[in-house]
Order: sequence, then structure tokens, then C-alpha cells
Amino acid sequence: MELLDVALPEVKSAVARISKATSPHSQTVQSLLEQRMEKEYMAGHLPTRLKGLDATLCGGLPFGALTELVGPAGIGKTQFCLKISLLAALPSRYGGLDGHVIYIDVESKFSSRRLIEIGINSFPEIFCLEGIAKEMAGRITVLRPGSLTEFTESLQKIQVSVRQHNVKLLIIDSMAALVSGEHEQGPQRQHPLGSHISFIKALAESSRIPVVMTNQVRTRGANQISQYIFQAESRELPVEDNTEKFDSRLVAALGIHWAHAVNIRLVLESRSGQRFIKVAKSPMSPPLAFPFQVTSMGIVLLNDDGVEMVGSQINAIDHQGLLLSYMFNLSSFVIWKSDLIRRLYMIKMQVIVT
Amino acid sequence: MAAVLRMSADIIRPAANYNDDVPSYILHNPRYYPHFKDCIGAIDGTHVKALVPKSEQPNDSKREGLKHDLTKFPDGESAGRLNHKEIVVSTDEMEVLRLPLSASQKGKLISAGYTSIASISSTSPSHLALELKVSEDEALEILKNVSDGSRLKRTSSSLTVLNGAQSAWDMLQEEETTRVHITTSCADLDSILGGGISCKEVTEIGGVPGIGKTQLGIQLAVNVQIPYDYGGVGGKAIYIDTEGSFMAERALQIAEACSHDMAEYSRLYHKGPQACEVKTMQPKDFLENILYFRVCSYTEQIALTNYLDEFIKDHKDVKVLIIDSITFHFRQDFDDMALRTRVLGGIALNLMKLARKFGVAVVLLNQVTTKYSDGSFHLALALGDSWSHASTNRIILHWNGDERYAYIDKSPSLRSASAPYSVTPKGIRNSSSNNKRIKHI
Repeated sequence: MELLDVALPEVKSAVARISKATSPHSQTVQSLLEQRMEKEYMAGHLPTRLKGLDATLCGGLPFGALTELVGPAGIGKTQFCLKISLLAALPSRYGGLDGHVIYIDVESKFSSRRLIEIGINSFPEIFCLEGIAKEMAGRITVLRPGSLTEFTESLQKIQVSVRQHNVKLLIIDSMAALVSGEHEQGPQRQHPLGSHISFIKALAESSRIPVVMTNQVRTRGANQISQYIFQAESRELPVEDNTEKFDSRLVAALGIHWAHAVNIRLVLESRSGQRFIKVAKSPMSPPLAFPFQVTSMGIVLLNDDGVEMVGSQINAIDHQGLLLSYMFNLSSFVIWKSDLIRRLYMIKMQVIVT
Repeated sequence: MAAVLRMSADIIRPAANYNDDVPSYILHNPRYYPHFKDCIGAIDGTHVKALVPKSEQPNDSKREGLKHDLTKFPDGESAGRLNHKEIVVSTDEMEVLRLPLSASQKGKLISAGYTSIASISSTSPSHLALELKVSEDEALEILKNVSDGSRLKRTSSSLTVLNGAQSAWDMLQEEETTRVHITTSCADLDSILGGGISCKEVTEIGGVPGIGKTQLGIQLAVNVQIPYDYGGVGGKAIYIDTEGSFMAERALQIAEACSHDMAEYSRLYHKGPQACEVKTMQPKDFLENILYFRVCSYTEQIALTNYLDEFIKDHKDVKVLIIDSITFHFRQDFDDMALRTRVLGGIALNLMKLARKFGVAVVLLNQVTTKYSDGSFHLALALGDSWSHASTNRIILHWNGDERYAYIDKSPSLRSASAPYSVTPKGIRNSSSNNKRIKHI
């Protein structure tokens, strides 16, 4: 009031009018649902062609939401991303979104050869057509920012091109690599990726596209906490099994703030040699785990009915048995052959591991 | 002689320049000048009744300048000793400064000689307009503001002078008759909450990601619509989504389960002629009554909190307001923590006002952060210590082994306790394990 030198009632009404104009408009949920069913593909979901996963996610990866893939190196996150980008680029008559894809590749893991291979093996009837491969691959734009600042700058351009070029999917592989090395560890007041998260979410919501991000894992530090102050005081907590501590000492990188910011978290892990994809956080699904395999077609679920998990299992990231595939993590070309190679070199590997 | 007396009013008059020597203070002050104007003298021994208006009576802390005697006889006369100077020095000399007017208006009032509320209120709008050199409309406006402000002080008697206050007994009576709770669909949780989430209060619910905050929010948005006949509140819901976690499909699932449960209940308990009167709600109807806002930045969030006052006035049957989550936008873009605290404080006050004014249950979902105290790190709800005073009740959802528990962290009327619950495809329900029990702490 002192700033504008106007009387109180006028200021109040001005504030009220400005607030009304700035507020988002309301919608009943019923009309929201109807609108999405009508206008968007599969009521606003991108199907992943993994039946069990799609069923639990009510159709697929939701539009306007951040989906995170987290897991140890070499488990199949990039394979998942490649498959998804292909699915988004496919024409709608084959079940795709018929749109462009922006793939932000921070660690230089994108392999176009592998992409075409997945395409040929998963959709042979489409890819045998002339020029389809070129068109599909042409719809995927790959960006390689070298640092966090470059990424920040490119975000503005991405926003523009999302509108202009009919972009239907944004993939960032991986978020953790952008931040690593830029700041010291430990609890911080404001997250370094904070403004990026808001920006990307706003972008996802306004253009109604799904955003997929991958994240790395870190070893569980000594000061990793998981308790509230009132929990520490009560003596009734079950004692953690110490033998498990050594194996499952992995946590997702980027901290708890990031864990809150993503809408869906898919944890990829390996337990006793079998890989699982778990729905660790999702507003619409129970915490199910599906066993999967990496094949020439990308990722394939071995079982479409997931196993439900409870408690600490949901967020735990295991990497037993993954040591074998670490040996082959020389190039992405080799990863999909790991099953084949594992069978061939079983005996030899046992010798090396011990 | 009689004729002269009658003409005295016209004849006996001070000289034309009599009023020139009047001190400017009296000259311009309408309190005194009407009475002292043209006054040629006072006959000694005349009683001049002097009353200090209650509004200007000093309280004990502001006694400066006022003669001690005057305070003892606020309503009476004080002959002889009375000196106009004593009345003039009022305790709240610059009352005008505290009025809700713009700075230039206040300046004009003071330079025209109006320093107290009484002096302004005794003039007419046209006179005031002339004095201040403003338009009559503006003068009317000022007078209106003054009378609004002074009315508060003029009411007498008991402590219910303050506008809007109530005695504790009245509050209790009111609560007994109108207290309502929104069930959470989990009997254990309802019992530690005293029936459910209470309307008219701000409840904060926080927890780690994936514990079920959004689920609880959607469940409450559906449960608030349960009609009165089924033991519910029968109102609408406003859901403010800041993170994008709200999935309409999930809301549909929960609504379907609720509708199914209601049909079961009606089948079992409402038999006979009553059965036809009790209406059943379809999932579609549930979704129709949830008003959804998607907020993408903190400015939108602040604007929406301001706009809700008008919005809820237009939608009178809203009984629950869920914000999921209030933290998200305030955790990233603020470099100035002091500003953040102020903004959050403003939002907190707005929400509390909404809860009281419209009888709405305000449910705030909060995130978790790490805090360092007593030599170790532990989890705590986000937004800092200053925010922890914003809500009336605080519930923390946490994992205890393999089970989800809700713990009442802070509440003025509920005991500290924790209860297990589970998240099922139907929504929030009782925990199904056998060794669960409500723990009172």
C-alpha cells in the first residue's frame, strides 16, 4: 500500500483480481478424464509394449509426468530408452505416437546401430519397408551437452522445438551425470537441479508429453538416514539384518529431493542373476516387480504378473550377479549378448570371479 | 430592555478583528473553534463541562503530558483546574497515522490539523473536503474508513470487544454441534484422529516418497463426498496439484471402490422404505465433484491461495482443500530464505483463515528433508522450522519394518499415537497384518 499510495480497499481488490488472473483454471476430474480419453493417445499414456508394466501403469508411461529409471550400470536403462524412443517415433497405425523424440545423451551411450537393430527385431514388418528406418531414425534428435550449464541453455531451445516440431517424448540419459562433479555431496539447502526440475515438469505438463530420465546409483553413505527423530526414540524397530547390508548398499543418486520430484520411479536391479524392473513409486500402481531380460528386441518381460513387494524391498537396489555383465560392459553392442555370452562363458567366468 | 436583550445576539459581538489573534491550533481545530469562536470571555466560576472521549483516554502506559487528575475523572467535570491544554494533549497524538489510508491522505489530514479520530468524525464530508482540498467522494471515503476503524474501540464492556473473538464456552458449544470429520477409510487411522480429518483445521501430512501421501489425498477427495446418510460430510473437494502426481485413472479406481462400498452398506443397513430414498453415487458423480487445479510455479501457487477465498465463496459446498504438495515449488527457486519464510507465512495465514471462515478441512501434503541435530542426521518435514507452526495438526507417514504407519506428530487435541494403514487398489484401507496394533505414546 505504501508503494502505490492507494487506499487499502483498492489494493485488496487489485490483489484479488491479479490473483484470479494468475491462477490456473479449475476443472472437474471427470471432465479431465473425458478430455484425455478423447484427445490423447491411449488416454494420455505411452505404451511400452511390456504387457505387465503397461497394465500396472494404466496404459503406459503417463503424459505430463516425470518417469525415472534408476539402476546400476549395465542393467538396461539405455536399452529401455532406445526402445521407448522408437515406440514414440513409430507411426500411429503401428501403435506409436508418430512424433519426434529429443534424446539428451550425456554419457554418449546412444547407439544408432543398436536402435535400428531393435527396430528390425521388434517390428520386422515395418522395418522391411523402404526408407522407414531412415525416417524413424530421423525423428530422433540426439543432443550431447557437455556440462550442466550447456544443458541449462539448451532447455530453452528444447522448449521452443517441442512446440514447433511435434515432439512427443523427451529422454534425458542420465541426470546424475549432469550433476556429478559440479558440487560437493551432502545435504544442501537448494538442489542444483531444482530449477531444471520445475522447468521440465512445466514443459511436460503444458505440452502433455512424457519425460523419461535415467539416474545412477551411489553407495549408501555412512550418514544416510532413514529415520525420523521419533523413530529413533522408540525401541520397537526391527533390527536390520546385517548380512544384507553389504549387498544392498546402493541408493539412487541425486538425493531425497529428487526422489520426491519424480512422479514414477522404476528401479532396475539384479538379484541372484535375475534382473527385475520394479515400480518403486507410482501414484497409480502397487509396488510390483517384473523379471526381465535384455534381448535383441530391447527389453522383454519374462513374467507379466509382477511380484508385489513390501517395505524396504521397494526401494532397495540390488546388484548381485551383475558382476558378470560388468565384464562385458565395454560397448552397448555387447550388452544384449550378455545372456548368450554368459551361457557360453559360464565356466570361465566362475574362475575369474573367484 | 427586553428588546435589547433579544437583539443582544446581534448587537453584542466581538470586534471584527477579534478572531485574528486566536492561536492557529484552536483556529483550525473544529473541536474547539465552534465553541471558542466569537467567545468574548467566560464569567469566572462558570463550570465548563469537559469530557475526554473514551477513545482518547490514556491507558496506563501512555501517560505523558496528561495531568494526573484528569485520569481519575474521565467522565466528570473538573472545574477551575481545567486548562484546555490538558485536554488537548491526547495520548495517541497521531492516531491518524494508524488509519488505513494512503500516505498522501494522512499527510493532508495532519497538515490540516486533524490528529485524532474524534476530530475527523465530527466533521461533515463537505467541510472535510474543503479543508483537505480533496473531492467530496474522497472525503466520504476517509470518513468511512475512520468510522470503521473507530467502531472497534467504541464498543464497551466485556473482553468481546475485539471483532470476531469468541469466548471459549461459545466455541465449545459450537464445536459440539458442528464438528465434522472426513473419514480416511482406514478404521485405525480414523480412531487415532478422533473420527477422521477434522474440518475447520489445517492438517499437514508428510512422508518419504512412495509412502502414500497422494493416495491419502485422493482418498480424502473422494470420501468427503460421502452423503450425510452414510455418515459422511457430503461436500465437494478442491485438489491442487503442484507436482503432477495426480492420476485421474487412480481417482476413478478409488471412486469406484467407494461407490461399491456405499452400495454394500446401503444394501445391508438401509432396508425397507428408506432404501429408495437414499441415493447411490456413481464413480462419475464422485469425479464430477473434485475440482482440480494444476499449479506450475510458485507465483501461481500464491495467486491461487489468494483467489481461493472468492472461489470457495462461489462454491459453497467445498468441504476439503487438498494441496499436493505445498513444498514442491518452494524448494527450488528461492535463493533468499528470508523471503521464502515470509511468503510461506502469508500462505499459512491465508489457509488458516479459509479453514475457519468456510469450515473447510485444509490438508497439506509435505515432503521430507534431512536435518542435522544432536550430532546426527534424521528425517524431518520440509520447509523449515518456521513452517512447522503453520498447521494445526501434523501427521507423519513412515515405514516401520514392512508396514506403513501414520504418526501424529503434533496436535492440540489429539494424543500422540501411531496407527498402521495400507494402500490397496481400492485406496487407503486398514492394514491387513495380524500383529498390528495402535500404539499410544
